[in-house]
Amino acid sequence: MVIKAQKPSRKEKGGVPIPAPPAAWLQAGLALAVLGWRIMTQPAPVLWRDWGLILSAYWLLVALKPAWQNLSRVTASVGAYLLAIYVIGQFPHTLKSLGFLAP
Amino acid sequence: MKGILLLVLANAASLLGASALVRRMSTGSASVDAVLLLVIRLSLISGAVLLCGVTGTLSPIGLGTLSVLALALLGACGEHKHWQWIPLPPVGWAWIVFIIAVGVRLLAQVWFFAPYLGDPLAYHLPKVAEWVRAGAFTREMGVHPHATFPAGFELIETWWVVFLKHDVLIEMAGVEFLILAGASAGALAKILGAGDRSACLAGALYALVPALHLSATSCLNDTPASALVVSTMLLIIARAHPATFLAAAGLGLGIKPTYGFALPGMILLNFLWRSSGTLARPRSAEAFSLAVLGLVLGTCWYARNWIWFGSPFYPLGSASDPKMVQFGASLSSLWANLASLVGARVYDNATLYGPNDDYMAGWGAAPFAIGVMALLWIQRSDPRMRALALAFVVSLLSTLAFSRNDPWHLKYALFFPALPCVATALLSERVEGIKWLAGGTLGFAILGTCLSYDLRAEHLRVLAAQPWRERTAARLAYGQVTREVPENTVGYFGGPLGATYLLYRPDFSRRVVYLRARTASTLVEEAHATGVRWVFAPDPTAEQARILDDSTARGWMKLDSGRFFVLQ
Repeated sequence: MVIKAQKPSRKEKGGVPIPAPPAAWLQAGLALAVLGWRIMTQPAPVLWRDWGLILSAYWLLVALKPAWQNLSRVTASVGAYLLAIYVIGQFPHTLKSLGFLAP
Repeated sequence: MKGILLLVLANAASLLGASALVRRMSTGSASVDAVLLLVIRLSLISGAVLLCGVTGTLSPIGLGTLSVLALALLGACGEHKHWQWIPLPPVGWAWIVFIIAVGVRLLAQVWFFAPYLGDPLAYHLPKVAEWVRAGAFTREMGVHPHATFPAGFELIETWWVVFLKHDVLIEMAGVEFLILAGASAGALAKILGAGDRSACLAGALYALVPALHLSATSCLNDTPASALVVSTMLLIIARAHPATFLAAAGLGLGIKPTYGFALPGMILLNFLWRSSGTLARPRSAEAFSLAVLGLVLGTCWYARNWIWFGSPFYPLGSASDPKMVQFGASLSSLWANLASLVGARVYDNATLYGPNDDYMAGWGAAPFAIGVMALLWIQRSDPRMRALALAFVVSLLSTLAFSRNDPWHLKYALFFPALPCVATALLSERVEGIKWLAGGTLGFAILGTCLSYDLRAEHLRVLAAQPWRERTAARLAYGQVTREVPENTVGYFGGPLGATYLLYRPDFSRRVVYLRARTASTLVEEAHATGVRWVFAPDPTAEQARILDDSTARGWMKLDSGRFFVLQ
């Protein structure tokens, strides 16, 4: 008996759909487009805390170096950095809502 | 006591009825079935209130009789023998304590908050007050230009006030949808492969998205509409019975047309997911009934507007359209909204969190710091997440295209943060440290969702100091109801955005007469004919101000205090 490898059927039960995995270059291209948009439209002094820029740079990294061994560490660090940016912006307002700061 | 007993019986009937339907349309997944139970219960409640409102039996006895009959019928069919409490997932004591703590805080917010936000006070809740007072749906809906908008959420709010003839529990309507939102996000995570604890994290993160959470206790209908978008996405990927889609979509469209803005993403998801495993779809009377109920709930308000005003979307697109909201899609809106979301609003740093999403996205820390990044990570290797992300993004873009770039429009897109919350939960299983960051965002969200831009500590003190029977935001300055009028009938002759709900009193004991006179003499005649002695007239239009000046100059009325006039 000869066993031939078969392509998985789209109709196969439990099989999950498409969209087909976007090629790394396509994801990298999209990330670059966002990166360019942010750099072109934001003043230089605020780029260090630009959410769109940070995420598009991260996306570029994920698209081009998906198997990089330090990716987990970078992911956690970027998360912590973004959390700090968020908290610095919102925390004074939260304190105001709770009555700890004057409105 | 009679009201409380009837409320308990009615809730028991709706739960037992929903459970009977879920048994017949089970998806085989406990987490999806729990969402199904909530969707069907909310559909049944809406249907019952709709029926009683149309037939003029919208009273504790009318709705109570219907509920007791339903309970008796279900009991006779032996449904009570099949009742099962949803088993608690094995998530550990820390999560159980956390969920109980958030639940207790929500109950405290329901108890101590009184309706306080502008839109509900001006055009959502006056309808509820009119219906409860009349025991039926009324043609009188108030004077706000948006009073004719779909009122599906008001049906659920009516359910929580009609038995007690009091609005002390009115926020429970929003809390039900918040539970639906959290349960849907948790079930989505589970379908995508998350463990029980991570699914719990996804649900908690989404339920604590600041704008979603605060909106739930504000009597706004944005949390319900968003929760239903997320639950519809879930039912699509869980390959649930088509009748259940119709129930969720009907509820959503009947609550707010913004649900419809997100439909392109849901349709795309159904297309992308069409080849995955399908469940048996038994053709049963129950499924057919649920589908019909969904269709009725989703179309009734549009049909009413078509019959009464000649357009399903009245006043949008008509000559009397105040153009306060955008009607139709616009590419310039899409671009402006996207640019302001990414460039400014996603930071949530303009002001305090609030249910109206003032000048911010209101998504909170988790989607901002971890969620979108997690999405970029997870989608690399998981085609299911890619399909789901594509559907959510299409829904978001569609919603942005349909919304004007005003300070509040992102409250229409509160379904979107469910996706990054689910991705965060999935990533927390794969990357060391993300769990702790997500925990930090949860703690921050707990702090930020105690009070809000529109209800601050000083406002809560005023509300909490009142006995529950009298608790009202009329004591807060922005309602402009600055004095208690000793009359059971009050006329309203103010501008179209006035907080008229505050006039009804929390127990709906006061009649409010909307005066629409065009001259001073007809104003006084109209007031006398309807038994009105006191007229509340905040922020009058130029024409109303002229009529009020004329009436006072002629000595027919006198300004008493604040914005109250008394007829002479």
